[in-house]
Amino acid sequence: MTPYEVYFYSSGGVEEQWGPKDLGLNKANAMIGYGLGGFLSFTLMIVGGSLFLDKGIEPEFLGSITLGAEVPLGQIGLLLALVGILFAVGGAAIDTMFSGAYNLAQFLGWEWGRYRHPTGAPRFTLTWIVLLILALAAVMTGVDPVQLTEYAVIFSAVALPLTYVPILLVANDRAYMREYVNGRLANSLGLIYLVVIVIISVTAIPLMILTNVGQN
Amino acid sequence: MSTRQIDLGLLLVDHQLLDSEDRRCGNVDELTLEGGPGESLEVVAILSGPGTWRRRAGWIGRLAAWIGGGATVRIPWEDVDEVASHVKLRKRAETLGLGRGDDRLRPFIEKIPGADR
Repeated sequence: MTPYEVYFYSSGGVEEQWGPKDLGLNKANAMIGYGLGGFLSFTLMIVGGSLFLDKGIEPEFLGSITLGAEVPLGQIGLLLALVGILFAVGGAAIDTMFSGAYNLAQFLGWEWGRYRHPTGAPRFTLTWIVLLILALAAVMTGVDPVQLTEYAVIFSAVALPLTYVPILLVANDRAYMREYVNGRLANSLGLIYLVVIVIISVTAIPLMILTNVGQN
Repeated sequence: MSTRQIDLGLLLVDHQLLDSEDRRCGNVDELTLEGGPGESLEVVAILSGPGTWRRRAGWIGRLAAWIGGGATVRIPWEDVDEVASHVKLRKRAETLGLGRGDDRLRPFIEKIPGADR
């Protein structure tokens, strides 16, 4: 639900011409995806805790977490974890670049989308290439990527309601959604979630300052 | 085009322009309205392009217009085919002078191997 994901996912939906027939698959995607994502986040924290905490190690690099697979499974585990990170980071890089390009192109009315091919959407293509170079430049300044990610997550938490509220409103718009419009249960859950993300959004910056970005 | 009531500020301004071949070629940035006292007000043209941002968004708009080259394209209302969530035009973008930024950049993008895939 973070803004960049919403731009990426919804633009992808337009590119692939999703219709009502894709609703089931997307619902399954959302449930399995969120469930699996939450489960994996917890397992990573638990593995990290049991591996590093009692030895007094504070892992500072993304690569350190691969030890969580290396210790029980040996070299194969290490390789699998590294390949997994490559795909995860690569996928996220494509996500973010395209999200930025979608955002700019749609705001300015340019032709956009991978389905138009680079020659069909030149400014869109140039935008994601420039974003890739900028991201590479940011990494090459020597800034700690983990800390940069933490700040990015905090600011996307602040912006969460800005993408969540429009989606909730559209889900309630009968002109758009017809028979797929939100029911009472979906809206109740949606409103509870809205309260949660508004609280997160309002408290994110004060908490960042008070806890010195989780350092104390 | 069938006649129905729409809120021009909400359902026309800032919407996507599509040319006759469904190419995205800019936004409805401004409208030209005509009509004297006592007459009915009529939309006679759509204005599109960075030049319109100067009047719309203060110093940020002037800066953005300067970066964007400051051009404005006037599309007569006769060339509008349909107003939906997008605004569909009757002519091609090249004919109307729209989407020129993409056209200018295309020769360079075409040099990238595999750019047509």
